[in-house]
Amino acid sequence: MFARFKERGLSPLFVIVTLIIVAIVLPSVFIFIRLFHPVTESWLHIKEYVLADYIHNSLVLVAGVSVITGILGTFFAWSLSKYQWRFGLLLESLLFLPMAIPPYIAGYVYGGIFTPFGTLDRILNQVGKEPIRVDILSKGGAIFVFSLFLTPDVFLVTKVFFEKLPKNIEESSRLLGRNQSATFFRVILPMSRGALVGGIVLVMLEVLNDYGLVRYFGIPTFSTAIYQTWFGMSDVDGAVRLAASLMSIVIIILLMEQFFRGRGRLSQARAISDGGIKKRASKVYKVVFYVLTFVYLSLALILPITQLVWWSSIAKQTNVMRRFGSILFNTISVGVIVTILVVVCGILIGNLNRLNPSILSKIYARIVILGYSVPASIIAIGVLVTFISVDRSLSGLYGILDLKNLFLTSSKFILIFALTIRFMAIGFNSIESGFSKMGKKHYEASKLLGRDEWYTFRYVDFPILKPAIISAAIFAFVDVLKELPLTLILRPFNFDTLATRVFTYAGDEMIHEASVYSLIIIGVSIVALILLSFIRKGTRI
Amino acid sequence: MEETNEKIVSMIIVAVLLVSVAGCGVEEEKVVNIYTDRHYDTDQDLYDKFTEQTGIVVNVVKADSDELLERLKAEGENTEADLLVTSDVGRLFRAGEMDLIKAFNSDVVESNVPEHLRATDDLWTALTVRARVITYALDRVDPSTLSTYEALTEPEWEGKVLARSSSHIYNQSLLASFIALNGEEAAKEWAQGLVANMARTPEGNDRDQMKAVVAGEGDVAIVNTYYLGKLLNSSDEVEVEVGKQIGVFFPNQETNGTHINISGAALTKYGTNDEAAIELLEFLTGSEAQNDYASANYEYPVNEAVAPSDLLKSFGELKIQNIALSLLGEYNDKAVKIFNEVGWQ
Repeated sequence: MFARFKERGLSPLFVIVTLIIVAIVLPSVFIFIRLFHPVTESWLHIKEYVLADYIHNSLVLVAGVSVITGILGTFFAWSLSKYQWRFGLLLESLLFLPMAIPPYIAGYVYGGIFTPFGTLDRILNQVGKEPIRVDILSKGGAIFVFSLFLTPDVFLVTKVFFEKLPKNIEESSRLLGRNQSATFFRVILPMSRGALVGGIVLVMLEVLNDYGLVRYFGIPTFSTAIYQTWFGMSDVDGAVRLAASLMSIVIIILLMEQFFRGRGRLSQARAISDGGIKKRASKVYKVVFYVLTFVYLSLALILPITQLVWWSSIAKQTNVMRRFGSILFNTISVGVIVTILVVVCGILIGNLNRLNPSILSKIYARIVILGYSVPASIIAIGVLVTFISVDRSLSGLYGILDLKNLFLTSSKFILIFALTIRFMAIGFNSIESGFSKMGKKHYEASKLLGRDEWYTFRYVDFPILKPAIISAAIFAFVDVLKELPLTLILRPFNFDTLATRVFTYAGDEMIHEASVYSLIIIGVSIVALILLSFIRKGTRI
Repeated sequence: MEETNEKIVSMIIVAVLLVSVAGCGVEEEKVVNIYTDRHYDTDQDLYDKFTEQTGIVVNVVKADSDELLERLKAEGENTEADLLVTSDVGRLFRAGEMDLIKAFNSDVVESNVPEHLRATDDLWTALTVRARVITYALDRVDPSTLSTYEALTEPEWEGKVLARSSSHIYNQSLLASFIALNGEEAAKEWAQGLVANMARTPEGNDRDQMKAVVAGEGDVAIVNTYYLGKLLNSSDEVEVEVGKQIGVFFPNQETNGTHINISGAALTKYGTNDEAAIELLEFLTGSEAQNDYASANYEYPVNEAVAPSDLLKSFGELKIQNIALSLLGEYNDKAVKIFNEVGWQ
């Protein structure tokens, strides 16, 4: 079958990637169509009274969080990939971990620390001091919490890039007389813009699409407008319309970024880096690094975990652990399957972009973000409608096979599909940043030596790409672990995951019970990180 | 390489499909499939009890009610769901508007649930009742100064009133009830007056409002009674202490009654297990299940043969708003718009 495509000049890779892209785009089409529906009355109301405020809030949050995560994430990534530290490997793993704490749970945690009768009050009370009021449930508080728990997103993506950055670039810059900081800011940073932007885009989308934290904090944002139109005014069309405009803006920005950065890319740079030799840091740098890391990990890991452990310890034990085995199995099996799919699709798309770059392949590479560009409940509607129409068109076949009417829609397949297209953006971002410095040289050499595609991938490309693949896998897996809206709405009967259990309790203000499952999510993430770091060992070239 | 990867992908897909097929091959047994936005462990306990007594298997999908409605709508006549359970009457009304539910016609349910807690056309029935009341700081507020929701907009309460954000359905249905009782203008005036008297911009949940009252950030808070029940029975001693410093006042007892909302259930229009679903409705409104609802979740039972929990009894007799509950659904979007207009975040 592929031979025929080849004759027409279409590579099988192109065909497969196109199919993947179609699958990603299809649910969004159902969303986009509504852009052209007539304007509803609730849209006019939203626009007149609240939209400007909500957009303003969204922008403030997005800007604040982007700047902080950008600086922190890049600083950690650069330091850990270029300098020697005591316990460097341990610190590296610990810096990923805040990712396992969903921002809305972190919101409850920090609320629980700073609100009246919270942990801070209790501690002050113990030592006989007056309570201090910190208004954590505010815009500033939200930026603080988001930043803490989204920094790993930037860290992960930029680190993959820095690790593969050829050392000679730095050396040349130093030889030409630039000092260390000038080298970083004038040479390294502009070169790593792609990876940095990739990481920050994830952070921005996460903040834009959050509804849990901002709702608890009482900060209405653009996603509040979407949900208010839908839930409050029962105007689904209006809500989807709002989401579609959000999606369009995101896509336009991303495409523009892609085209403008075109020439700044390091496409033919040396793929093999400096052999992992790390420099010694100066004394001042050491102090700054250790203090910052300590403060960050205290706030993003030690403090919330301590709070969660304490809350868990006073959870009412009845029924909390019911059906735990199946919950854990569901979560991990879905997580593993989706992770594999995300990674495989990411490699295919990235490879196409490298081997046959074209305008189309560049557009493909940006379109993967579609599934991540609007709140998940909206994507869920798109997926639902898509699957139901597929099911309806297959109903004849189902009749013959004696299957249920909505066979696909009522199976786990819809959930796996939805999660895959949702997190494709996240996985692909890491993989793309791995591909971006690879070039074609080694691939072509291998082909010239008569090796086939598979051999070339397995023994030439894969080892170079492995760190990027591993960070993509971490991203995808941890994100599936804590994913909520898609799982809630698309799951089959009696299907619970760790995250849905968190929601079940947190939604009803039962934070003690919710903590138990939040901790388990963190625990599973730790296990996954350890496993992946084992795979990673020995692959540094 | 692509082909190998493609093989892996297709193998995974096939494997997933096989697992799902295996799950479907169970023998014919009586089942009832529920879409619910009530997430309490109590509910699962009740379903388990029901299965024990009747042999009918209960399957559950839990999600937010509007998303469940959208799923029901998309699935249309192919849906597997038989019963829709929501924790807000507005959503049941909406389901009726969207033509997603059908009348249940059960004498048992009719005798279990008083008329004002059912839809006139038998489209839905309440399972539990919650009251939205005024709570106050016992040490600072003399309950004789409290009277109605409306009175909270008087100048004497300036900077003293706490309430959560308007994105929450409980506030929306409260305002919808005022639209139904007093008209849109009066409702808007009330919302405006309340915003003017707020101690702070709305933030946090109902529990947080009560904690803020005890901490002195405000004097009164509008909350649902069962959250006070949860504070008082918390496994966290400090929360219990907070709960003890809170008084409950049923507003509008001398006028048009305290606002209530319900959680309720309806048969889905295209459900195929009507018999089992009705049996479950009869069970859930029966005295055994109603007792469990009342004691575990501090909600008011709908079955008049069942007494509320001791805690609820200690709050006193409750005169409720005398309006058709479906109006709360009908005026929901108006309420949301008023909140936006007066800037109740």
